[in-house]
Amino acid sequence: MHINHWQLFKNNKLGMAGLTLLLLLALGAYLIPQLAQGDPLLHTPFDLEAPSRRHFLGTNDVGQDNFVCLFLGAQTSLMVAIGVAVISTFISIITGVSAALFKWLDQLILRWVDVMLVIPPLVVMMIVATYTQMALWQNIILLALLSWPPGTKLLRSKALTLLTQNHVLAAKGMGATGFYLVRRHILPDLTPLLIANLVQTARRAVFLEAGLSFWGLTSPEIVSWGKMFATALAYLHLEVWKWWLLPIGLALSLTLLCLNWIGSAWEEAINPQVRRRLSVKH
Amino acid sequence: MIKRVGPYLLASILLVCLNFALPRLLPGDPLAAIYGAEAMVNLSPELKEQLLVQFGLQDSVGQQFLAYITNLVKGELGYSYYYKIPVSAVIIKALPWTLMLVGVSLLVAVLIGFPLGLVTGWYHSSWLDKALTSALLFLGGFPDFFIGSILLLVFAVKLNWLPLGGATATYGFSAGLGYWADVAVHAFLPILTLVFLNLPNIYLISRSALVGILGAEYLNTARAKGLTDLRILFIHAGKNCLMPMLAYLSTQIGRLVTGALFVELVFSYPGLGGILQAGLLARDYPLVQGILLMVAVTILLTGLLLDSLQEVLDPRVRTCTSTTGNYSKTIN
Repeated sequence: MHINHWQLFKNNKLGMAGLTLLLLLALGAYLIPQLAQGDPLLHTPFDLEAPSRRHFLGTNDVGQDNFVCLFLGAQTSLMVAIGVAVISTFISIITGVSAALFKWLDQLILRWVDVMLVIPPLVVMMIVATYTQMALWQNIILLALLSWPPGTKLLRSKALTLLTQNHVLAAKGMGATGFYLVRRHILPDLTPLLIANLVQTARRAVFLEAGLSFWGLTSPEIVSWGKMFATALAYLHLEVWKWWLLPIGLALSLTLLCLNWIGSAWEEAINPQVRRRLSVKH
Repeated sequence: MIKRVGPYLLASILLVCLNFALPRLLPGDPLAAIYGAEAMVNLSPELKEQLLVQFGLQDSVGQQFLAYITNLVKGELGYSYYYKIPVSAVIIKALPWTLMLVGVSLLVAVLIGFPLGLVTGWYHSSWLDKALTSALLFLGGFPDFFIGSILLLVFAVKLNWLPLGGATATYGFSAGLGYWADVAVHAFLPILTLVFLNLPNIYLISRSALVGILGAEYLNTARAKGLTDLRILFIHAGKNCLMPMLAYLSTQIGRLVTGALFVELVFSYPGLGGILQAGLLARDYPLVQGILLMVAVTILLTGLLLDSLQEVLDPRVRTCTSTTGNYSKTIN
């Protein structure tokens, strides 16, 4: 079936708004730290300043520019989002499709997925993080290793349905091996679900990473929204929250909301029942 | 029943093994990994010897593991170097506060969210439904600590209506009605935050469950019998929406409890979250590990409980165990 899901997605205003905002954030995260003068992470004696022409959002408690730090945090969050989503979905594809293809592997993977689904990921991250100070890439890998189970269940059930379709049976009758079937027949139809999985995993990953850095369990060199928020929280009694705490919280919430909107819009676009409703209207 | 317990049991074993293996696998002195470099400076040589013996770090790995498991079963989670009392004692003091937060907020969220979801599902596509659903979808996107901080800011810092933190006033009552009023006032904002956190999901689940069963035959029958809308909604349809919500809740226990930990951090509440932060700041690793293990086990146990509750409440979920094996043979 060659349905243009992207076209349906574009009709959803909330989804497009979310996508645009996220792309703007990514652009800002890439450009603004480069345009900043000097080292934005240098501790200066000009701490807790109000917004001015030099510092758009003022400075934090060690004199760093809030505006630039906001986008440095955006860098971390977006890297975590993309990294975890890609790695985790990759693992999900392999485990999900293999579980659908090979019966003996199916039960094993299902049991393993059940166990992993029960374990709370944040607690495991905290247990590991208190013993080790992990760099960002190690955080990403660990998060990915904890985030793949939900995707596996989704992809496995979809792959199981796809495997019963006629074109797959015909190909099998002609002697297609498992790998060929996956590459030519199953993966293309799994793509919409993969994208939905990417977005959901990204959302959960940003949430978990922010939570982990809020507890202060990430390596000190990582600039993260959660850690900045936790530091800013200590200064709630002063007036600085207006330009320090609030933008960070709003940025984090906005990122999560955008991912939420994109995810819901895409899931609606790939939902065959929605399409039927739309086609009846015209 | 065994099938249900399986994943939870395996997960608990994995977590216990992770907690055991991690400090011992890392390079360096395991005692330093367990207690942290700062604590090592403060510990006297006699205490170090005693801890080495207690943890069994001089024995082989197998004996260490055995000692570790025995300690866990006895309830001994180590010794907190910051509080100078055993970790289990610290946890027991802090646990009631967290349980109260989680329990009360869950109760309130369900009591508000479930009926609200049912009602808006019944009148779905009305303006109220659209407004409420989009408002709660919006609210559900915010991270745990953000909502807590905003509430803290508005009600405690700016308006001064409610206290800034802690479970009780420092020099307040210690018993009686005054004490409980004090506890309630201090717990109000944390519980409100947790309710805001849990409400959107409960609302959405119950609403979608109701919308899912709206076309069912038995609802038509009930209406044909002349029952009022209210009765049909809450008793006939509502009961069938309870199961999906419970199923959903059993998967969300992890988020519930960790959300409570975050909220305790924001409001300096002396529950498990507050103790955890104190332990992290003081680099008191045995305390931190003990709390995290405790939290993980609590989450798993509660999940298992809710799962089993599902089986009890909904006959359709129960697995059928035949008493005689000959039934299938008679069919053929």
